Amino acid sequence: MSNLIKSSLTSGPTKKSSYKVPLPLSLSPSILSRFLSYFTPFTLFTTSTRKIKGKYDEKTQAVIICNREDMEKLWKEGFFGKGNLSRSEPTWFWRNSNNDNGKGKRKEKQKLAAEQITEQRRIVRKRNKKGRVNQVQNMSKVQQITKEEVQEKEQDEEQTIEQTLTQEEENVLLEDIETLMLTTQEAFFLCYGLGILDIYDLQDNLLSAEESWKSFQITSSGFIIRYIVYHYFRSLGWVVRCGMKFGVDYVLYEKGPVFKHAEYAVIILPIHTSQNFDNSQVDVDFRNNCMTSWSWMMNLNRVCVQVKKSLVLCYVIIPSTTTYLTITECIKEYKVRHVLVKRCIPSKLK
Amino acid sequence: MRTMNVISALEQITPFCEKYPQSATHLSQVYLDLTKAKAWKEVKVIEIEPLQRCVIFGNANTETETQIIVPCSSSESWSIERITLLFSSLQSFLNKPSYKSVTLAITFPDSTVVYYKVHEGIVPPTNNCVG
Repeated sequence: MSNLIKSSLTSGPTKKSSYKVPLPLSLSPSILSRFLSYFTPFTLFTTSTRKIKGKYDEKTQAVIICNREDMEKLWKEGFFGKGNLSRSEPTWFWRNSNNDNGKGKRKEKQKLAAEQITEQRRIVRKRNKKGRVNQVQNMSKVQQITKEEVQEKEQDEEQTIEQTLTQEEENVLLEDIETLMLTTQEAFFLCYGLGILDIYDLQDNLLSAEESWKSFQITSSGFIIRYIVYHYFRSLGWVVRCGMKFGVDYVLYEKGPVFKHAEYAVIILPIHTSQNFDNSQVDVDFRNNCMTSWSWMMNLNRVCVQVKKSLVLCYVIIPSTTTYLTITECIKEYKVRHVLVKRCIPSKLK
Repeated sequence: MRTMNVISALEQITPFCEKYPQSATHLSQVYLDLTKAKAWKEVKVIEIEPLQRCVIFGNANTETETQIIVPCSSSESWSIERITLLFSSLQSFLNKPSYKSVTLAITFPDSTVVYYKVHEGIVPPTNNCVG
């Protein structure tokens, strides 16, 4: 029965000013090594810290991080992973424990998690919509009285919503059961690319990078292709996150999800160059990503425009030979080309 | 310690996970999402044998209607035949008046769950504000 007392670590959603480090690496403090790091691989000049422990679950195809400190570090320094009980940042425990200190109204400058901000936006939108509908419906009636009734009703609704958001103290004995879930691509990048994650299997055996590389491919045939794209954009400094909510493979953020909405939505299109492979055949994993027709393209572009993102088609050219000595050689053989697609109206072209 | 507490949270669905191992991961993800993250008031797991999977009957709170949630994975593909089979199996298995809509709960390995409502037939848009 641990974690009954709210730990100092679960102090709520991270403040914007706390996102200082773009990747979970700590560079050596000496100026000389920082200068040299411009010319040689930077990992030589990082101070070695304790590695994070992650468990790979084959059935869910995710690597799970349980330690609260590690979860916060991975989120704060690079926006890796997703809390399994939250929308993005693992704030479930904070949101559900008494997050208004004392009963009654919230303090004005209280921190809000992403979910609570969305909830508030929805209330405002609903109220505006109701206002518009009432105006249309009650043109003939005395508007003053109706508006007051509507406002009273809204206030009641808001109060009930606020009440459900705050938890009653006597009923809650919350334990923090949330974990951070990393996709296999994120986990492999942290393990192989940055060297700060140790991946264990469910029986607590440490998996080497090669073993992880092989295990991740077993359950998902498209793992390598997705990883190549992930690695590519991460190396360029983009924050790469899952694009499933927008019907694409990845979304790219310039700084991170807390600063601005994602600018780009990435669709992965694998191109096989091997002679034995019929190009019209599509990998099961990418069966929805293929240039079948312009209507497919229009469809995708419309969805992206609706969510204010630009569509990026990312072609991954798969080499013909498939046996490799090392992971690095394998990755080097793949080529990535990307194309930005934007709809334009000729009469509006400047 | 943390994994043990999750196990106790999932006690209710363990027998279903053991019986249908293929759907164990998405069932548990959706179950956790509804009970813990969304804090739905009532969540019941029902086995639908003809489909070899489980569905969830749930209520967000006491005022809303019961919804049928069908957990599935993002790698599954739903054809018209499959959806029709889903509706007809629900109707025949549950022996209740036909349900006009179900909600597909599509899960992704990083525990993102996306909910999509599927209606049997065309549903006229409602002009009222209550979503």
